[in-house]
Amino acid sequence: MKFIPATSLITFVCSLLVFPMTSNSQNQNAFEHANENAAFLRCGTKTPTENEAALKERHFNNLRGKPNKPGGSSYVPRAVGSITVSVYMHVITSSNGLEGNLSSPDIEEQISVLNTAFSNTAFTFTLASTDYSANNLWYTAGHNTAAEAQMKAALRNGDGDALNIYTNNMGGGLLGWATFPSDYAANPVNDGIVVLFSSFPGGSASPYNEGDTATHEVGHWLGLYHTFQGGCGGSGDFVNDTPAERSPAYGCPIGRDSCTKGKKAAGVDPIYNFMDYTDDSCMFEFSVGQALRSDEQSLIYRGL
Amino acid sequence: MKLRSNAALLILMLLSFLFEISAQERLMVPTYFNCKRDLVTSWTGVVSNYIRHTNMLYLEVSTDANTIEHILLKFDSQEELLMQLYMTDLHFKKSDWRKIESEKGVLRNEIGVTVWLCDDKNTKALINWLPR
Repeated sequence: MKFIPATSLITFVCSLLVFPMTSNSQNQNAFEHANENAAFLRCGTKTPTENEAALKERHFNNLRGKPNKPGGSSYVPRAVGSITVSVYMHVITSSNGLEGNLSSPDIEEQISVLNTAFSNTAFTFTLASTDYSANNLWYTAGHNTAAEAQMKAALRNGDGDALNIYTNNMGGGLLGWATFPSDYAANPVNDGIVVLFSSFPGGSASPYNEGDTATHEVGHWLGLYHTFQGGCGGSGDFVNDTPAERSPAYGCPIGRDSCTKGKKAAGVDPIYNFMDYTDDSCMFEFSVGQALRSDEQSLIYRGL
Repeated sequence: MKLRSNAALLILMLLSFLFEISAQERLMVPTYFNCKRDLVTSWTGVVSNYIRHTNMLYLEVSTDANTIEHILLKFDSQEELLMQLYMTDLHFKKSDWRKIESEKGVLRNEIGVTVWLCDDKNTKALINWLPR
């Protein structure tokens, strides 16, 4: 893989518009990362508006910082384990019931994994109910599909403080997805996480079968971004104690250090963090900053 | 009864389109990407700039992680290029171009991709097209 400076790349690409390319025997990949000057490197495409994440963060900061609110002068982060989250488990199987099944011990083990993972945060998780649906359409429902919307409309329980976990076999290389606390008010029925059933502890989705997909998605549900959010630049994941990361890590690349510039570049990549993409066996921690952010986000947007 | 059911599905489709933002995912490394796992990374997002010529393909990807990434593939033949492309995790066929392009070299709107990269200096990047 060869890195090409962004300016050279864009000059080259723009020149193609004027001088059609002749045959070239060399295959070459080039990638360049985002930077503050990206707007100047777009070869005629429109400059993006301020991104949604930054707008949401501004809104979050407006809501917090008031007395008795998170970030305010009299606000005290809540104690470890002091908030109990009710979990509504929705197991989706194929219509014949043969695929996608999870037993009560499987589900209890997943809840246990969540409680261990979040043990340095304010949250504990307790199973409120489990239901089973045999439905081929829901069993393969992907992200942002009509089937997902239909499934959630039929099954979702509780208010913004209720964690709804749907398990299915979504395909498309996905292990799961989640909604953010800040989205609850606009679309409460969509709220929750969807997880590949075989990613539950002891499932067949090795090396993603220790239950940490649910942990990762619950992290989003409580307001955490990926550790590679924003790449090396900007505010990243809006948490101070997670070093910036250029792009997701897979496997368990000990010592990976993908950012050398930027205000959060110091430190190696947070590959052990639950909010990266590394293998389940590699991820085992939430940072103190993430614990605080999840506390604040869940209080403001979920009333948890 | 079936008509009402279809109408409800249509409304749900519309709602899912309107609220198509904000969820975040976790990806697994696809089995067809032959790279040591520790060296893998990926970009997932929407293609925001696209140029395809006889011997090159250039993409700019606005990623879900809020970065802008670029990739340039050079190749001697279309067959060589097709080896680096997938369509929703299946081998890309010549007939798939019309699923992502409105005319030759012109990409349709809202075409998603995941680009798989290997930091071993040998393994070629793969582009998995994910029309949204």
